Amino acid sequence: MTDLGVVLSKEWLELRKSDSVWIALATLIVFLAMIGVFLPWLIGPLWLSAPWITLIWAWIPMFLVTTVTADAFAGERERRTLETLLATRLSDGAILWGKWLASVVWVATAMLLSFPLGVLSLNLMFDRGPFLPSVGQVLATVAVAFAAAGLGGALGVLVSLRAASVRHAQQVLAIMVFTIAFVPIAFMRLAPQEWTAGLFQTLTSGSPASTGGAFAGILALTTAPVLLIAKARFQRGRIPLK
Amino acid sequence: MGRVVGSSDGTQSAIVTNGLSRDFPGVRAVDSLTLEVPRGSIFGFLGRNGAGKTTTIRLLLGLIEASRGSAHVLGFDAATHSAQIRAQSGVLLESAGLLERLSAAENLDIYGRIARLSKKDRAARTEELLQRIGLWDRRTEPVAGWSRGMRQRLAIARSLIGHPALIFLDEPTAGLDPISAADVRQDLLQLADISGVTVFLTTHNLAEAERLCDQVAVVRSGKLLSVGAPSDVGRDERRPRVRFRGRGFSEGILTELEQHVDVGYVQPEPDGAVLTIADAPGISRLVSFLVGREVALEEVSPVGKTLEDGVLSLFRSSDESSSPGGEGDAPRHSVGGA
Repeated sequence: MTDLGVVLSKEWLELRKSDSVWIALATLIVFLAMIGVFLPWLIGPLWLSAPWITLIWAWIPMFLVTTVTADAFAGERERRTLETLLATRLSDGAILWGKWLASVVWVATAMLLSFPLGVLSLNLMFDRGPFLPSVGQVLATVAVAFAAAGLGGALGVLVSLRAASVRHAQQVLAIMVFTIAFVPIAFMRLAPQEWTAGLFQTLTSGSPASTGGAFAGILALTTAPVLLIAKARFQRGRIPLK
Repeated sequence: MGRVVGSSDGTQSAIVTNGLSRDFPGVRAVDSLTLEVPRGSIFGFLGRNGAGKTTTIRLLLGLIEASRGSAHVLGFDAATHSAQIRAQSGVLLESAGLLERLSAAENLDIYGRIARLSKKDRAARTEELLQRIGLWDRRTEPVAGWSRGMRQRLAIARSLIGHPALIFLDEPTAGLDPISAADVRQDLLQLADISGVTVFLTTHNLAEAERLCDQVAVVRSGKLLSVGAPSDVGRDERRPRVRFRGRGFSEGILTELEQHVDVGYVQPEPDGAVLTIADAPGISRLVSFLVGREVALEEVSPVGKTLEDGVLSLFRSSDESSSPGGEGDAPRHSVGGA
């Protein structure tokens, strides 16, 4: 755990001082404005009560996290710091999980800032309030944000491990994330009608907490094998150093 | 150098390799390397670019696997216990590997944390090391703007932050101007002497190795050519070298000297040449030869034998033994570039 903490703080310190932190912050501000102000204004009180609303909290972290994790290994390789890091006493696990967790926690925490902002916007813009989320909904939102960031981070680390450059990693990740984003659309178009009707029923009849919790679980289950593959591919002797 | 050097049995050696080899597709980077590095010594690993020096460091740190043979570092098998080796080692690899967005102090602090030093120890060690290399006043600056020499010195300090038993330095003065290189050497000697650490230093700068190292190994194309004290390397290969200075050393005379039976190698100089000769009696024959060619000799003096001479002789012998036609393929007056 100590080593994991060291890698986490190293990553955050580097992230804080990197040039790309401004790009990430600018992206975050745009997303905060969209999710925390524009969407509540557009959707109204449904922004808090619709069961499907928690799904929104999945997509944004997924996009955001890739901007950070592309740098995880590819960036160190570009800056020629990777070999020195690998030559330390840090275990493979501490380096891999530390880099993954650093991006997940950073992005999920940043994203969650938009949740209270959204609640505040809703209450300021509409009169029939107060509009407040249940504890279950808050927990589900947190779970979805972390699970989505976890999946995006795992994909990012996996790609970054062998990518020749940060730009290469970002390109591959952009394709991956767009592919994932189109899966539900393809599902709705191609799946049997009774399946899509069932899914629609689930997304409109349940509570935000239960729908979000289930979705977070699906994301977490998807993340696990990606992380296992990343762990299997992370071998000191086989990672390209240049 | 006043440093305590361990005995040559396996337990007292910082590094012991036995037939260590590493193949890459189409090339054998390290070829049956067998050597011993005494604890507490500064050990120079010499060779040209591409000789397998960096690959050897990677093998010793367990960053890559050996194709054959074994390596024990600080008593640990590099194939199975590389984590323990890395835990007790510091490194300055091909690239300084500094976190350039961070300050000098932050760089040392991160690596101090990795070495599991307490906060108090990290602060004290950071101050001690930065004071010693004269960079304490610049500790809060991001290292991105620093000169290469300053970065190398900081990277050496970083390699020592965790009180390692052994440090690996891969070409620490490569690409530095002479003054910066001298600063790095000075820091290295001072820091290594105080820490009592074993230093495994790769370089192709032979003068540097002679100045710094207790022992050196010379490698070529991954093969060990010689190992021993700098004064002993290539001793058997070293033939007398004599400087002839005067007027009249034309291109034609130098060419004739290359063909002369008493001459091994010719190193042209502005007003003469340094000749490697087969034996001492050859000197008088060469004087007669040059006088006969109307060269006005002003000086005939022996040239001190340096590590460079020894290493170059080793390389030439290696050339001669590996070329099908004996020495015929080797350039006879080519020196330097080693």
